[in-house]
Amino acid sequence: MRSVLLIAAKDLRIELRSRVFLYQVIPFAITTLVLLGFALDADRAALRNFSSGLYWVTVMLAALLTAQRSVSLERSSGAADAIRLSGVAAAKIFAGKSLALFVYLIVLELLMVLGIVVLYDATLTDAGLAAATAVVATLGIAGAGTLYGVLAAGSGVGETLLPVLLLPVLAPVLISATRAFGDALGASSVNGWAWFGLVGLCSLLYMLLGGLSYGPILEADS
Amino acid sequence: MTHAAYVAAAWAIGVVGPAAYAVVVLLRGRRLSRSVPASRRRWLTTGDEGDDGRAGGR
Amino acid sequence: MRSLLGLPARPASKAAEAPGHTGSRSTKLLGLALLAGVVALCLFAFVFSPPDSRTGPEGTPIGQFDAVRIMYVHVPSAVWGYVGFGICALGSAVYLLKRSAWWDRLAHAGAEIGVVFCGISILTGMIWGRPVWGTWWDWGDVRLVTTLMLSLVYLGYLAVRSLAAAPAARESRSAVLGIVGVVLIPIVNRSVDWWEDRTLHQKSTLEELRIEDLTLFTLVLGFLVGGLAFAWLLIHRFRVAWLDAEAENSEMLAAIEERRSEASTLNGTVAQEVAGTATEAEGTGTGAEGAGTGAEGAGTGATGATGREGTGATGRERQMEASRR
Repeated sequence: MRSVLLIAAKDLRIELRSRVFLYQVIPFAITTLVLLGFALDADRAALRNFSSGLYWVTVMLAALLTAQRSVSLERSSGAADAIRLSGVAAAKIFAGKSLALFVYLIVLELLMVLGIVVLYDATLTDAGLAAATAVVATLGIAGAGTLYGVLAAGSGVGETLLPVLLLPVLAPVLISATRAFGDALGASSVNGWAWFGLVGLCSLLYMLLGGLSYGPILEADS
Repeated sequence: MTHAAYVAAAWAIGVVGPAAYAVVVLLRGRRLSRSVPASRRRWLTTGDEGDDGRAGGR
Repeated sequence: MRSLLGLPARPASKAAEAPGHTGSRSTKLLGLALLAGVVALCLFAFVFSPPDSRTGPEGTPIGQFDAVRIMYVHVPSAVWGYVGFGICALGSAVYLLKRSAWWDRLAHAGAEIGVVFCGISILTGMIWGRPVWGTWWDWGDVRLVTTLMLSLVYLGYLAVRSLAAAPAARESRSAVLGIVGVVLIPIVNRSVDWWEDRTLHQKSTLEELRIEDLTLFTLVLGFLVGGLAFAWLLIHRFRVAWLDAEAENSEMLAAIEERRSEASTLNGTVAQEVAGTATEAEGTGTGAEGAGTGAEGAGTGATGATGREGTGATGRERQMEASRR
């Protein structure tokens, strides 16, 4: 557990120093929210209706950038090799990197909730459901992002490859998190907690698959 | 026949698609065969590195 | 299956006659059976089987009429496409356990054919949906949406396969992708199913059909012919994947050979010594892939090819060292 936290702390510290997240990812997310507003012709009712879907699409796009970043910053400095040589189990490396990615994304999501409240006129009617969904869905996105980030990295075309690999795989999370959020924002009358269950199932699956397959991938890379 | 155009289009895709793919695969096999010595085309010859088909493995 | 795909069909004495293609006696027979099957399927689908001319309680027609003939292509290709993905996942899993090249090539072949078949299934499904449902794309049809998502996942698999990476890294990465794709099937299916539940609910196509004897027979024939096509394609695609890896291998050996001859021209008098080190160079050659992966892992952005190049140079250096001695 200590090594997991160490790896996560390392990633977060690098990020705090480089400020890519602050100056690039967060502005990207806000820009996307604004662009989606333009695309829907700033129709107040439509924006409020679709705010949950727009929110999660934006989260996925920002997650792509963040996952990309989390892998590339290690590769360029040779840190990946150092970690691998440190003898920490692959599953722990995976957990640590996922945890760091999770922290960024949660920060981003908090800001974006403010964004949709301000820009899309959304109202949070069930904050508990929204928070639970966000935490669990983000665990899944972070797990899948970490796994696919390392899969796509080192190929020289990682920037274009990662979206192709990751987005179809995240589709179930997008569908179910959007529905659950729709309920939490009072935009659709579905059973949000049932959808929350599906989000949890997806996330569990991604974390399991990631933990199991991270080892063979690192092994083949070395 | 009702929906004749739809049926024709669907069957054209269903037959021409795999056929075109098969041609591509065959041509690629011919091209690659030239750069691989006959002894390594194992479905035609007795392999010299065991019989489990792992000769090209690492 | 194994013997069909990879094992010898002829004695070694005939090795020199190995033809320059991926065919063999078994695939030729399979191909003939497939052609006969296609002809039979066309006859049954267009001549013998009746159109779907069901009528409702008041005598109003509710059948699909001749559009039902699309089903004979659409349904089998969907099923065989999924079989392809299943083979990919199986091959990937066994590859990760045994690191066997055979299973890796099989997984590759399965994924590619799965994408082709699912693509055909999606297109024919859309063409069928237009006259019957009145729309090209029905978001309410769970199978259609699931199949599309899954095809996209396996397109990603093929994208990873096409990368110029060191073989061992490429194989492991794609193996993980191949397994994840199939694990996702139930979850994608479930989420789409729940999701479409709030929109119009379209019953799945086959449940709706009251299947007549001849319609059912034609559909089964479609499955058989689809299976023949699948098997034929799988065998050929497997052999192409095999040849591909072999060609990559022999390219590498040729590059080493080149370096070796370069080294021997440097100093003709120690030719014998060089010949002695040639075996050593060979040893380096087999390690080249491992070295290529190392370069990749180090994050230099080097592709497998550059890795190989580098090792080739190492071989050369060794030989030059030998010449100096």
